[in-house]
Amino acid sequence: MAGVILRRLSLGFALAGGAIVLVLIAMSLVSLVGRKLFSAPIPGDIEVLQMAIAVAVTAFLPLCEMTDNHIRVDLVAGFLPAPVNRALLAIGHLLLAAAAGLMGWRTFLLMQNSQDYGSTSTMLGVPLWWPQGLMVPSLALLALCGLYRAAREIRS
Amino acid sequence: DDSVTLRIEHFLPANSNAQQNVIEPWCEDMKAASDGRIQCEIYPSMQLGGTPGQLADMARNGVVDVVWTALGYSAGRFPRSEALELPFVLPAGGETASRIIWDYSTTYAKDDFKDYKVLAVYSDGGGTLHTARKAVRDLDDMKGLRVRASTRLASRFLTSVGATPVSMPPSQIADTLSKGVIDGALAVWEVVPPTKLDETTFHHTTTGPDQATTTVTTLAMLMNQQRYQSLPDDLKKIVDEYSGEALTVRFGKAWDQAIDQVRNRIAGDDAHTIITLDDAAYQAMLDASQSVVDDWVASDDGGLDRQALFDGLRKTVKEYTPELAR
Amino acid sequence: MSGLETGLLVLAVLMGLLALRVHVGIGMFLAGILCYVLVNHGNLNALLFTINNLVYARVSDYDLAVIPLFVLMGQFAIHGGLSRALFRAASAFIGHWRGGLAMSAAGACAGFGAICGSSLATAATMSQVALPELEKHHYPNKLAAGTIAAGGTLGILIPPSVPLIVYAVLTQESIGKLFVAAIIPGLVAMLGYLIVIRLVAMRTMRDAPRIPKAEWGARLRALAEVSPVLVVFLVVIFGIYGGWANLTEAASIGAGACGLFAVARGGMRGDGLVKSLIGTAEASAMIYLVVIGADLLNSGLALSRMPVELANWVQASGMAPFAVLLSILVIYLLLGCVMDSLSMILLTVPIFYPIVVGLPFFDLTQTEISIWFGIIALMVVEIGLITPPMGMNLFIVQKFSERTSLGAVSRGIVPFLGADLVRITLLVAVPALSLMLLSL
Ligand code: NA
Ligand code: NA
Repeated sequence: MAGVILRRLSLGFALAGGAIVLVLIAMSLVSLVGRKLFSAPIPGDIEVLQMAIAVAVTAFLPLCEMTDNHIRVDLVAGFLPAPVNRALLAIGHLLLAAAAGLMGWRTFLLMQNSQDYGSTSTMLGVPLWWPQGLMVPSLALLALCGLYRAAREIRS
Repeated sequence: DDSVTLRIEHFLPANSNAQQNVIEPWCEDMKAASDGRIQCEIYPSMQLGGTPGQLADMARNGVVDVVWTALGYSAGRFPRSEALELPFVLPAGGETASRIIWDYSTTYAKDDFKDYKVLAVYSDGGGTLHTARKAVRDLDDMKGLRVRASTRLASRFLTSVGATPVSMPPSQIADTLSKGVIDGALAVWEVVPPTKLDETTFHHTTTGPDQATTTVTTLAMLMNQQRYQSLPDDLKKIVDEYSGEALTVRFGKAWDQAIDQVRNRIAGDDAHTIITLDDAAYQAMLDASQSVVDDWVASDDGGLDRQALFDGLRKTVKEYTPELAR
Repeated sequence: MSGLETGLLVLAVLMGLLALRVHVGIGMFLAGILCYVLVNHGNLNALLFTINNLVYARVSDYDLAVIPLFVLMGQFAIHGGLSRALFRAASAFIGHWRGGLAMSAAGACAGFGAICGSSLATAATMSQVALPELEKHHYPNKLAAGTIAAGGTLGILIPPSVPLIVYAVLTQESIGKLFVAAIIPGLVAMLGYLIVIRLVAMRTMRDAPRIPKAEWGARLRALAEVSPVLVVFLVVIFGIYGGWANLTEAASIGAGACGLFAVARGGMRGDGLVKSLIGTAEASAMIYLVVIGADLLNSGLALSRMPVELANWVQASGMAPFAVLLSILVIYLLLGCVMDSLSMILLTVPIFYPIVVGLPFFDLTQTEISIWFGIIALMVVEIGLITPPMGMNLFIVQKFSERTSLGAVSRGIVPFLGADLVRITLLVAVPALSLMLLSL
């Protein structure tokens, strides 16, 4: 049950991130054409790209953990008995969950800090806590996916 | 053993003017004055992580002890200091403008810096308009020009005089200029060699000696407050002696030197022309850009009395440079 | 502890964590934490606030942002059938030669590499497209698998290339220049592989039946099918290098064009789009998790002063520059046996780069050394993709070919490794191969 929910959520996050990338592509093309033909680039397009890609890329992370595709060095896997391998993998996923939790917590604090100090993007003045805040759920979901994978290794 | 090592981070390479001509000698001086008890470790090119916009925060949080940064990169964090970047307010050049900035920053804008031990706040010398093909002599020449700018207020200034501001990383300026993607860049002379503007632009429009400069980028060296407080009293005294107005002027002079060097080289090169705005053209640009000042003063962001800040800045400028036309 | 000792201890711990199957990005993240703890004597303040900035600083990096765009471009090309069209076009021209189908597969890999930044995607799509054909025409297992595994590396050897983007970000080098510098070495790589296939085929396929020669009409039709690849490649590379589009715009044009092609000619529909997006999400996520972890490790190492001390030590030791370079290349080859290319670039460039650019090579300027070393580093980490026991491309090819064992792939790759070593020697000895196009 938890697995189904997490899988759907991480898939939804990944597709939302993908949609952002598609929009960014469209924006870049419009900006290029505008600059070429009408001498009118989208002002601050670089900033928009940076903020949006930050949200999109973070949203990609959980799905990759659900499908267990994050990069690992599986050099010793072949030499170890299955229970040891499972234990190692469980520890690995737990460490990933812990790291993701730490990053999510600290990114949340970054968001609060940006909010308190009114940090904005340089050209457009977009509040930085918007993109930073949108990254937090993805990192939290990544932590949950790590816990789920660890539990699966332990149970099997 | 009560010696200290200050960790200093900034966003430029190790061979930049800031590091080579000011930060390193400054460290050497403090080291000598303290018999080696104050030392520096300098981390150029953001080696300790983060983005240039996060530098000020990194000093405030104690990730590093000292940062050198541009205040405009942390937009919204230094609202009172934004006034310094308004068009046609400060004189061109490093030293005098830096004295004015230091004065303003320690009086009217001092609340911007209450979380820091401020070591220096200074001017980059003010923007010159470098254009590839079209010589800009008056307001009309600005129309439709695509110009690279690095700060929000520089962009607003460009818009107000009819140009189109474009933002891009410094590494792309030379390429895009040589291919005609942009027509020019608004930048101080000091950055001309590292961004290769001397190879890609041939007309350089500046303001005259008694005219205010287009817009400046405010640079600053900030120290973590607790770190400073934790120093032994005699080391605090040494830091104080070499910082503040002394370091501000030191930066200003180093920038003046760099600016003169580049400007003289360009002036002596037949491929380049340096254009100084005449009084009429200057007045026309000043009038056109008045809207930027008005908008800034009228904004109610952060609940500041912006009129008082702007008046305070004008008053300070008048004290140092009574001859400046505005 | 000196910086050097701290750094070496942390790297040893990292290797231990990776051997115990901790994710590479997480292992680097933890090693970075250890570095901060050691250098700051347990004071966590700087570490915690560094982590505050860590993720946002990396995922919002402007230059790295083109990675998802280049990945998506490759995904569209796959789902639009461009990889299949490339293989068909190549075999229309050279398929009838001895070993010609395998050579066509290598050529198609190179063509696909021109619009795809990742060797994983190249190896995976070419495994699906070309392996069944090679098996159908009785190509020996070892040759077929070796061709695709080695050909897959052309995905990063020929620009656009994700490891080169990351190298550029780490060294503040121009991505456009690195891409242009990689063109000739990439073509040399393809040529080397073609020669290897030819030699192997002469030896093992002397009596094998050949496929008939294609008519010129069929050849031209096949060529027309793949013309978008050439257009997209030229637009992307010369858009960036020529300066009329910035990197993001060039990548957007490429992705947009491949997307339109996939819909118009490849018949891509909703589910193809969803698959492309999911593929992009997973590949980008893999890259960014390592990038984030490496960032903390690298700032931790910078804080320990290990890279500076190491560079000083090398300069003071009076070792000949080429001996230093050779040692670095050997370390790369050894690491490559167990690590993937991107993790290697992220781990080693901050340590080796300051050493290399501080040494004199021929009479190259510092910028030239920086670009030349970038290309050489790319070439050696690429070898890691095809060296046993841990070679990503070997695994991928084996996954798509039921009748090929990992042992067969590993043996099949050996002649291609020979070609790689020859090429690296050539590139080290003749920097002009990398720098020539830049001086045009
Ligand atoms: Na490629
Ligand atoms: Na390998």
